[in-house]
Formats: sequence, structure tokens, C-alpha cells
Amino acid sequence: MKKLIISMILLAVGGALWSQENGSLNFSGSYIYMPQYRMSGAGYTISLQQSLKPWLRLEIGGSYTLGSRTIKRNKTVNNVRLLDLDYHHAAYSLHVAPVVTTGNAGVASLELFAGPVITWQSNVFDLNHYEMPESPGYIGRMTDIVYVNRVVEGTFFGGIAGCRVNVRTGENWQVNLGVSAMGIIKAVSSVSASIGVRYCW
Amino acid sequence: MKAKNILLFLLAAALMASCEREDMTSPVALFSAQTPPIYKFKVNLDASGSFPTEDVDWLEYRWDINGDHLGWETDWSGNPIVTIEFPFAISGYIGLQVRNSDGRITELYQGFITDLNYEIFRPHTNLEIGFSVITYRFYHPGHLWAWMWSCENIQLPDSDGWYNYTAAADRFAYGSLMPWSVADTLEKNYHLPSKADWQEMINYCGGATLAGFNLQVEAEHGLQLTLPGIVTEGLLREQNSAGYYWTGDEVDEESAWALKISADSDEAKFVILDKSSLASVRLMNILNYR
Repeated sequence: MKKLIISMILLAVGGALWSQENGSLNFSGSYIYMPQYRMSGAGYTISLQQSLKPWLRLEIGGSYTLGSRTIKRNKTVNNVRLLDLDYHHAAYSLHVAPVVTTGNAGVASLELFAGPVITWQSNVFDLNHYEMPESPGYIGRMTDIVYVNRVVEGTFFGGIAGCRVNVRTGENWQVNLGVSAMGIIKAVSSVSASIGVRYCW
Repeated sequence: MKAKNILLFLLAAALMASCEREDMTSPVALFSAQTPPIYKFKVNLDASGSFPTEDVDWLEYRWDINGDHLGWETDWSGNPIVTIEFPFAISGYIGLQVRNSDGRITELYQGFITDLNYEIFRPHTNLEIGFSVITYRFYHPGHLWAWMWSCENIQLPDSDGWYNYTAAADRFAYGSLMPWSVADTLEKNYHLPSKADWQEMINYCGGATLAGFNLQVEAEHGLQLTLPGIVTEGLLREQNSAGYYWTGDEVDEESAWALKISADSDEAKFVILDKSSLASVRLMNILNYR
């Protein structure tokens, strides 16, 4: 339901922006890193911009990201075999941000943007995963493997800020490189580097 | 001005995104019983094999002893060993939670099975008043070991040579209190357990610290030792508070070893008694089949 609401908001606001006289549509792929849990992964973002002034635009964007991390252990301590731990992350995010542009729009320009984010995240963190030693005959186990995890899942709020360098490649086309940081309260924050292509009208 | 605000926002977001690294590991939880569990017997559950997976840490433990998943029968404690009265006649689950200093918990449930093979019968004896015997059977590859113990205190007809309680119910519960010389020559097929025999029974009943309780447990599969007291210098002492059971081992010509159990202690211990003291008697035998 939350994903549906986010999609509808995105479509409504995006449609409003699309109908503006001057705007742009950007698609970018990104490498993401989550420093707190040292997860890494990839994602993509679709964003629309409306020109308000020559140096100011309003951006709305939606993104999907996936990340993971494996902590290699594979060692035996006190006859207990410690197995690898895995972290998994998936998120849908929606952001709105004013964008300040500097530089020559005809050749290359620099954008700075910052704004609020709403995100739906699902994170699974393995807390432990181990194989117990053989038990005495009076103990019966379904399995010798013990698995403990923590799940952080739900809708969270935060902020995003970043910058992009746009290079014009055609009459209506630009490519851009960007970095951004997304801080999420009570969930997983990330930094990312992205490369994208933009259609302007 | 706007650019400055955006830069500030960028810095705040970067700071939030790169906040302190968090490696989250919960402890390794392991537990076992120190001795094979027996229904109604006290047993020590030992989680000391559990360990934290971080360098500096401490652990706390709590137990779901009846395995109902509805609540924890103990509070959090730093002691990894808990003594319980084993609640399952055949099998059941016992749960453990281990918590580290960060509050992360590992939970482990394990099934415990009691596998007692025993029978109770009344053997033919050369005593005027017979006694019941419990036979514990232990199977090993190609080998059956039958461990036979009288499960009542030996009761003799009235005589000046030993002490009999006046009430019939007391006689039945406590048997006769007799000197070592009488106890050592009672029956040809069953003998007075040696100190080593008793020690083996103590080990079977959870070790010296718990056997005093377990030997008294009123359950069909137990020896159900009672607390008749002792007669010394012609006086009955410690009735209902202690039981003294002769062993077949002499200390010297005047004294012999006896097993002592008490009402106020879970411990079973050996004491030296004057052979003229009047104490309780259990008999036993061992059969090996190949």
C-alpha cells in the first residue's frame, strides 16, 4: 500500500512537472555504499526537474536500491563453527529537492540539491550463524545450525543532498556524474556515486 | 545564501550517512545438562560453553525451563549454571537466551530426552521380610549391564540386636536401623553397597552436590531414600532430618563408612560411623550379560 501511495505521488507530481514548459527527465544508475553497516550495492533513480529560474529548479525523484554484505568467518571457536554473516538491504525512496545550478548550461553545469526523503526499507542483518558441536545422546535437535537475525523494515524519513556535473551532448541531451548522501533516521543511510543521462525540453 | 544552506544540508546528510560503523553480533549460545537428566531429579543446566563473539563482553542468561515459550522461569543472571528439577517424564524442550552487553540476544531451544530402562520386582531372599528391587538396565554393544538396588530400606523382624520403629507406617518407611556387623551379612544374593557402589549411584544421581536430593525423590524410578536418623549410644537422633546408610567398606575394626543424606541439603556425603551405631541399609547386586 505504501509503495502504491509513493508511486501515485510520484506520478502526480511528475505529471505536473512534465507538463511544464521547461523541464528535464533524468535517468541514472548508481553505486551505493552504506557506511554504517559497510554494505554496498547498486540502484537506479528517475527524476524530473522543473525550471523555476535560470539558476533554480525543483526536482522530484524516485529510486530503487539494493545492497548486501557478507562477513566471512568460517572459523571454529570452542568447537563451534562460525558461519558467514549476511546483510541485505532493499529500498524504495522518494525525494523532493530544490536544485541550484551554476555554470554554462550550453556546455557544462554544476547542480547542488538537497531535500527531504521518504523511504521504504527492508534490511536483514545476521547477528549470528553457527553450527553447534555434536550433542550428547539425551539432547535432540532438529538442526545443529543456529541462526539469529535482526530485521529493520518500514517507512522512514530523512534527507538527501548531493551534486551533479552535467555535460551537454546534444540539443536536448546531457550526461551527468553525481555524488549524493542520503541520511535516514532509524534506518540505513547511504552515500552513492551515479552516472546518468538527461533529456531536456 | 541558498547554496550555503544546501552545502550545510549536504554536510549533515553525509554525516548522518557515515555515522559510526556498527557490527552486530549476538553471542554464541550453547548449553547442556551436566549429567543425563532424569524426571523429577535435580540437574544442572550448564551454559558456560556460550561465548561472546566480540572481544570484550559479558553475558547474561535466562531460562525457559518448561519449554512453553510463554515466559522465562528465571531472571537474567550472570551465572551460566542453573539447577532445575527436570520437568519431563519422557522428553521436552528447554530454552535459553544469552544476552551480551549490547543487549543482543541469541535464543536456543533444545529437546531433552530421558531414557530410563528399569523394572521393579520382589526377589526371593533369605530374609524373613522381603524387599523390592529396582533394576536399571544399560545396554552397550554386545553387553547388558543390570544394576539392582533395593528400593526400600531393609526391614527385619523385631530383635534386641537392632532398632525397629514402633509405628507400622514408620517401620515401612524407615526399615530397621542395624549395626554394621548385621548389615554386612544379611543376604547372600544381595550385598551391602561398597563406597564405590554408592559413589557410582551418586554420580548417576547428578553428582555429590545434587545426589542428596535426588536419592530422596519420591518417584518410582528413584531409590527413594528416607531419613530415619541414627541410633547412637542407645538414642535415636536426627529422625526426619538425616539418613545414614551403611557401606560395605570398613575404616578400621571399630568403624565403617556410611552415606549421609539430609533434609536441608542437596548434598550426599560419606561419613565414618562407629560400627555399633544403628543405621539404615540398602542392598544391591550387579549382573553382566554378554
